[in-house]
Amino acid sequence: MKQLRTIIYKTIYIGLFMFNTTLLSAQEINNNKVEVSDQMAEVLAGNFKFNVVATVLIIIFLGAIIYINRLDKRITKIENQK
Amino acid sequence: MIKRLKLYRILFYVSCLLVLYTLIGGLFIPLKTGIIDSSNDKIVSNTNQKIQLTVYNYNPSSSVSEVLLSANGSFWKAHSFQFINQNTLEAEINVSLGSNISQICDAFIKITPDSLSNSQEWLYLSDAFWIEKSSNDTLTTNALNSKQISQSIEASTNLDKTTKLGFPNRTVLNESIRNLLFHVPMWFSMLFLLGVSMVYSIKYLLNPKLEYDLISESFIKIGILNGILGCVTGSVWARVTWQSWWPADDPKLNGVAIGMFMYLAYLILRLTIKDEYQKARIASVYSILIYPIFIALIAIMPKLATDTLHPGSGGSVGFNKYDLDNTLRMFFYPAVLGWIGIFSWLSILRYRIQFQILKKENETT
Repeated sequence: MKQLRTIIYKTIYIGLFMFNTTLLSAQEINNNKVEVSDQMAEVLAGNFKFNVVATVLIIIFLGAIIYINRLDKRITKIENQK
Repeated sequence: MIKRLKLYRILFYVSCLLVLYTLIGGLFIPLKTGIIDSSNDKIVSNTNQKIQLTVYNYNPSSSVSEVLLSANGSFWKAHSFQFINQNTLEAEINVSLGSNISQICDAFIKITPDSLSNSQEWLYLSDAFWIEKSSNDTLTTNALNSKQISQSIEASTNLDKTTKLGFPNRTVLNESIRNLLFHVPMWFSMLFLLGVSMVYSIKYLLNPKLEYDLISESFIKIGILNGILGCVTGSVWARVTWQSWWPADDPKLNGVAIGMFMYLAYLILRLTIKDEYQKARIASVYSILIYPIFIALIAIMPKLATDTLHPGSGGSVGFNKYDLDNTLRMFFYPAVLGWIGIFSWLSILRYRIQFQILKKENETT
């Protein structure tokens, strides 16, 4: 099991190396896409949809914090038991 | 340990509150008024030209008193101007170059933000128009050579020192300036975590307890997570401002890429050694060696470079000088402290889990 885990980790790390090198060589500039992103920003700001995006981000952050806090309490419980 | 954990927990809660504060402020506070776009790229000299300037976050209670174009210290005033819709200002202007050749000019709008107060400020857009010299442009120019205007502009284009709420509206950056509160703290946090890891690596070499190695490993792993988040937030920002996900010729980015590879290699190194003590010893030496190299790659090397896109590196001014106003500072410093606190807590949490696993393994063998 441990060996399998090691192989999986190795594959992920090597994959990360390879993925990063492809990112480094992908440098095409497409001005049309910038225009689209500008329009998207305008639509988000104009329709107050940005507020929804921001609220969702804050909720995700709060969820992550609650999860970490619960995890912390569980570990404390295990530590105290021993 | 438990007493210390209580202290860490308090620090964690404070960090969460700080990050929540920066999230809310950083995402919802509006940008200050600024010019973000110009209508036509080219205007012809010595003829009446209509120009349009897009003003972002314009407050209808403000009033415009002057519209100017400027090139090489000379200014041309618009005869008339009016808002044709909520954020587009149309002005009529006659620019005469005289003996000068065709050139690029900047645009300025003088506004009074509040009708009750006498304070006035200049909005500015660099390289707004190309002035094409017409054949009937004579040797006399209608440009104003006013020192008073340039002094007034200089005073106004400096960052607003008051604590008026609103993020600075800078050319090119615009709304993306908010990313400063997320991208930069990731790197500060990463440097802090990797520094702590190096300290525990030294501690391990002085006193070989596996706990120290576990702490060092945990801080490096969360540090790498920080690095990935820093790359993602930076990449998105680069796409918006520099039109590339990863500008390949930027020395800071290349330094970061090499540094990240070195830390990923640390993880592979750990996986290749089976003996726990040997693994810890070699990993500690490696961690101590690569931290100064990482600092050199991301902080010293870009400063030595002659040309870089990142602010504060060789050939470019720091963010602090022109873009960090008091409103942004109110959120930037808490963001740095908050993110460092949260990621440190995550590292400690990971160490505690790993320590319990190690303990269990020792009990069974």
